Amino acid sequence: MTSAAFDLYDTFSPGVEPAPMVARSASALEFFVERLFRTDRVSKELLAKVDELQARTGARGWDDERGEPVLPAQWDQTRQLLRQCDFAASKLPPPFLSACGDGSAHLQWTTQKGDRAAIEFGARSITWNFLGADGEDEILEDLSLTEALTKVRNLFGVR
Amino acid sequence: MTEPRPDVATLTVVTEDALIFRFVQPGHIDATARVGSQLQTSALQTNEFTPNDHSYGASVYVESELKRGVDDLFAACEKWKEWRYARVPVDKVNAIGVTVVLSPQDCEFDSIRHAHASLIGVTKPRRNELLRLIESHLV
Repeated sequence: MTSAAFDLYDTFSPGVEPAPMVARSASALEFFVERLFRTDRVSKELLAKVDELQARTGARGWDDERGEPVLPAQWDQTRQLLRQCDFAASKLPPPFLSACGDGSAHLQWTTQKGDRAAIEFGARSITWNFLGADGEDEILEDLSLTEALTKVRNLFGVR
Repeated sequence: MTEPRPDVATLTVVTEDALIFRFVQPGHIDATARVGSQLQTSALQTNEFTPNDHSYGASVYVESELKRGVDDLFAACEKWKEWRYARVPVDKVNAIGVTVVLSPQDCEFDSIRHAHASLIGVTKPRRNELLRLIESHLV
């Protein structure tokens, strides 16, 4: 039990040593609270980046190359996927977020080995695009959000 | 009245011995990723983005058409000084299955319009190869 938790306990039971079960429960509670806030921090940063990208990509030509606008629906799907990632608990690294001139939103991960994997939220479908460090690739179209997230989790060996 | 845009099949193909410049926005480079994997998939439009009435595809500029090379591009657009650019041989682009065609119609800058070209045939599998090629030629 940390000193903060002990101080709180002592307020209600002054001078009484906490039972082992109480100490364990307090530690577990602290662990979950800490995890909750860590998740919030990663997600908040990524969701703020999504807001920023959405604000910049709403009109044709946003990329100075006559690019198509990325529609709010694509950014909403991006937000939905990010919320499901549970970064702190799953140890999944955060993706690099960007927008493409064809009107799609991209989340890309790169492994230590140099494998590159992207989920693309296009106007018509969700695409998984993997390019291995050794040159092998895999492109899957029309995935569901869950299927796309599973591909990323499998890549990093996390649940 | 707007002039009708020529069909992409009628545009002049850039020869294999040419070199092209391709600009990359900072937002399309993940500097924390391993070298060779930093350029993002979003840096190039794919075949989802078919030539249409306002764009033939990703923009490049043909070096031999520019008297002062990349400096002409910087003179035309100040913002590009903040971007990265790649100088890529056209034969390597063609080897991937992508064609380069002159497309002055897609350029908004008068002084460099004649050097503007577009990448045609960038499908998703080709894009992966093209990204590696562009990243390996970033200046």
